[in-house]
Amino acid sequence: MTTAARPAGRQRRGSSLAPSWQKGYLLASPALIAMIAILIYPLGYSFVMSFYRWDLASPSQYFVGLSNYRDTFNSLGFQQTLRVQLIFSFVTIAIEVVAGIGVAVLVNSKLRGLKLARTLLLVPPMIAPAVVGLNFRWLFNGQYGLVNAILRYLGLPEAPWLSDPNWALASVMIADIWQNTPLLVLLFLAGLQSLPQEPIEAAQVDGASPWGIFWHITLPLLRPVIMIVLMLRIIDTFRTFDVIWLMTQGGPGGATNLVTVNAYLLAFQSASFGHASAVSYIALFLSLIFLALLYGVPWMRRRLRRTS
Amino acid sequence: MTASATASPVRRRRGRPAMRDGITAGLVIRYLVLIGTVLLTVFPLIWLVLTSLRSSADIFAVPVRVLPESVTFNQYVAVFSQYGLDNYLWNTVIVSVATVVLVILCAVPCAYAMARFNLPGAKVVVSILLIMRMIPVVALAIPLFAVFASIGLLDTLTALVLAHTASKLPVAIWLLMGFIQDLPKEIEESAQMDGASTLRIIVQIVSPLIAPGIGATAVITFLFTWNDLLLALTLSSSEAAQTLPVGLTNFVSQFGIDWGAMSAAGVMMVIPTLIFVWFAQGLLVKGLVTGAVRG
Amino acid sequence: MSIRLTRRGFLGGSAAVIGGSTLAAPYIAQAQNADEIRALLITGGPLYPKYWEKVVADFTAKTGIKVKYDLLEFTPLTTKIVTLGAARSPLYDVFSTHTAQIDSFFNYFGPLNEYFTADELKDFYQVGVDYLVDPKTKNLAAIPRNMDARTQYYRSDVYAEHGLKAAVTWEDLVAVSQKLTGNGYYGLVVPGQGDPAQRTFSDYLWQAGGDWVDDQGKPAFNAAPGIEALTFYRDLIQKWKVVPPDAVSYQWNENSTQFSSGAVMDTFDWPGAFATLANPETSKVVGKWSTAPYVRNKTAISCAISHAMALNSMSKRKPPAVEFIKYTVSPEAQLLNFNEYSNFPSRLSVAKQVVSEATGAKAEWLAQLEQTIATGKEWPKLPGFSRVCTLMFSTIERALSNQQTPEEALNQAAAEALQIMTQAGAYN
Repeated sequence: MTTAARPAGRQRRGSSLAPSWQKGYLLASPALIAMIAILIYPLGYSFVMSFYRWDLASPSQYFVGLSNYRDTFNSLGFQQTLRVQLIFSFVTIAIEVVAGIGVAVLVNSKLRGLKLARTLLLVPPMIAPAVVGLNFRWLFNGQYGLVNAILRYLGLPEAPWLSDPNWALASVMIADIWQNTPLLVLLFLAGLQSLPQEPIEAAQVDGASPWGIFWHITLPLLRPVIMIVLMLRIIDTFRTFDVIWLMTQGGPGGATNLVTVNAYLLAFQSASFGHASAVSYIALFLSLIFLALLYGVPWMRRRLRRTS
Repeated sequence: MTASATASPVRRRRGRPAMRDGITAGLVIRYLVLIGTVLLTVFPLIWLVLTSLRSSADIFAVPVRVLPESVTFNQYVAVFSQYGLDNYLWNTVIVSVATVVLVILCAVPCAYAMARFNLPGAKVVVSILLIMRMIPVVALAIPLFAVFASIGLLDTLTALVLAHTASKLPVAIWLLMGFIQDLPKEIEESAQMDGASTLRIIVQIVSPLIAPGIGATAVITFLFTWNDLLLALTLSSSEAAQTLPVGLTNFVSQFGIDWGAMSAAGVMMVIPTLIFVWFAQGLLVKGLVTGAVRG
Repeated sequence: MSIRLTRRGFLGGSAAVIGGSTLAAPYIAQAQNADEIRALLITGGPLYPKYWEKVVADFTAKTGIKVKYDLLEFTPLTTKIVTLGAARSPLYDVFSTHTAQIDSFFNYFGPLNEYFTADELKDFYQVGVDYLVDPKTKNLAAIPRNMDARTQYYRSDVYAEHGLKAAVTWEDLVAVSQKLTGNGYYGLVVPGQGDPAQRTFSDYLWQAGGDWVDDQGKPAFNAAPGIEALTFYRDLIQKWKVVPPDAVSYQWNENSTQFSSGAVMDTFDWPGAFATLANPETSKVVGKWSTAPYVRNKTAISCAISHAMALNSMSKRKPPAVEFIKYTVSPEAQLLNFNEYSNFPSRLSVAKQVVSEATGAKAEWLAQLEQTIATGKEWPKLPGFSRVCTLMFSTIERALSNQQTPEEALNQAAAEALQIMTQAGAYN
């Protein structure tokens, strides 16, 4: 916050219209009121509701304490959801980040057509996930889909893309990776271009191998960008809904039932709003835990190193 | 890392001589990676376009034909005549445009206040903004449905606009704050001494200076509203308020999925994205990079 | 553009817009439809919208009451009513509904027994009415509009070519389907996802001699007949492979398309298919198919359910809403629904009339349908059972896709179902 560092005396030296916090809040008020009314209040409402029995079967809502959370953790469906979510998050993030860095490092030189490529790379992350989901559902269609047609043409066995639980999870992960990796390439490219060139050039003069330069210089320098990208992707994989909804609706047999899909089904198919709220808050807590690990572990290690 | 550092590309031509050995093999690999990435990126989209240009018989051909037997625009006609796409399209345009206008109107003064005024509790507000960014949309959709139902706003475009405005505000404020903080304060201070009101400073001095930031915020807000499925799916139930992504789900009917018409609708849906990507690429990248890096 | 807009007094403007629209919109919304009723109705396929257009136009011509209606497919429709109900929304006065999920709505739909006399109700199929009654309050939550039951549709041309007859038993079904599977064609198609999967399992469960709950209403679907049913269902896909392997992701739409596109030789489908399969716009197999009764095992039971009409208990325009409901289930509307869309009437009198008028293949099919309805059943409407249904969706899908054995899947589901129903007060 630059404002926080500002000496208080300097403000008063201004005109009679010197910034006052009342005026600041007045300026901020339309946005704050809108967010409080339409964002924070409903979210608080559903947080409270996650401790209530709230469904169609019982028109009166009553407090049940942690029962919704307990039911959720006990239910088989949610245990499967948790497993699927962790696999989905871990695999997609790992592939996206590795591929993103790899491609970015390799194309980060004066290549012909790079500008056009950057424009094209911007398309997948910006188009509607709903369209991505439908398109991949069509590509992976067992009989008429292109992917199996290519496999047939190459004489390879066809894959049960959307009908086998493991393949279905792979299919939705492929769609997610297709959509998000290009964005990471662009972010890493931007990151690479803002890196100081001196250490890299010095190493090149010393005759270091490209791999050595990448591993010992570029990657450590890129660390802040990697951390931010990891954070964004962790948050977003715990929010993924559209692609899954249009490809598999969480099926077959819950094999692609990520937490948000699970919450949606609980709310809008089983009319169990209390449970659904509990699940969506569990999703939030889970991504918070991962963020805490992401930022907490390196911090702990640094402290340990310093004390030892 | 700051936004300004990423925005100004540092060209690194000086290292060239040292890289001369292995330049051919390295360059070939680089080009292969570049071409491969681009092909993988555009290929599914080309398939979407190809499917939309086929007749229904061609779509269900076995073995699958890579190129359509004959190009037809019947699917595009069908999405309007048979599936009423114009209505979805119109709803989506209204919701997206109204959301962008409201978001910018609310976010600019708010971001300015957060960036330039010594607001007590500003840190709390900012951290709340960040947490808002993390909450799964479904957690918002459930209570919003209940709230809008109780005030009779369900199934109206107003409800969708309000929901989108509120949910896009945190990111918009966050983005704009970054752009405002990067401005030198001197211009505002001299204007202030000349007796300009805060409102005038925002409108006449700050806004033009952060026009790229406002543009980036507007484009990003527009596209994320345009693309949204979950809020529209829960808050609308009829043609009165259903948007394009919800319309897409309607192509899955009890008697078959009309892949051709659906692909045509998908292409229509992607067109604004392509336009923005092509013409506002700089703004978009700036917004995404700034947002990500600051996020 | 956005910059120019910010120049125009943004602060007051934005506050006024937000405040104004929030306050004004509900009144605008209410003012618009003060003189008409609103209905949320079911659709499916290209023909259904025309049916509602005609019924609503006829109704308005007769009564002067305007109806503003919205159409949704079966699954989104159910989802939407669930959410509207949870929010106690008065937005719609009338809903299309269905036996399958009716127990979700017992608290939301207004009792119709106040508007239909016992004599009037006698003209409706008993099995249709029974499952729309709330077992706790004995209120009639909805009134059947048309009966839904499934018959077998098979490719008579291909069967004749191979000298085969339509399957009668489970064993026949496997044997016949095996002979017709190969070269990219499949002998049979069944859906394997969501509500359609539960519906299919339910039919096999009854045919194996089992039922969903025992005499005390406790889950019993994991007993021997349940395991037999789910094993048979899974084996069709995974062991004998007579069903396209993608079937585990099929709902009714994909199921119907497989048959109407000619890729599959046999399926079990709803009455509406009789019209869609005969229409060249929606079918590639016009004139090449015939119907037969549903297959049997120990019993010949399958579902007899109904599409129904319901009244929103929160409605502020109940009298005109009820009038519309009455019109949609009138003999006139049911005849139209049968003649144009082959949806089977829910009124005994209308059913009798259409059966007596039918000839040839249609008469045979109607006889098969009547037989199915006569022996048909539906799953129980106990408190909490609608949540058990969603649990069953994934349970069945897990077994069909070989993630769990049928026994494991059903035992786990039964334990969870008991807990859900106990919590919902099914045994108080």
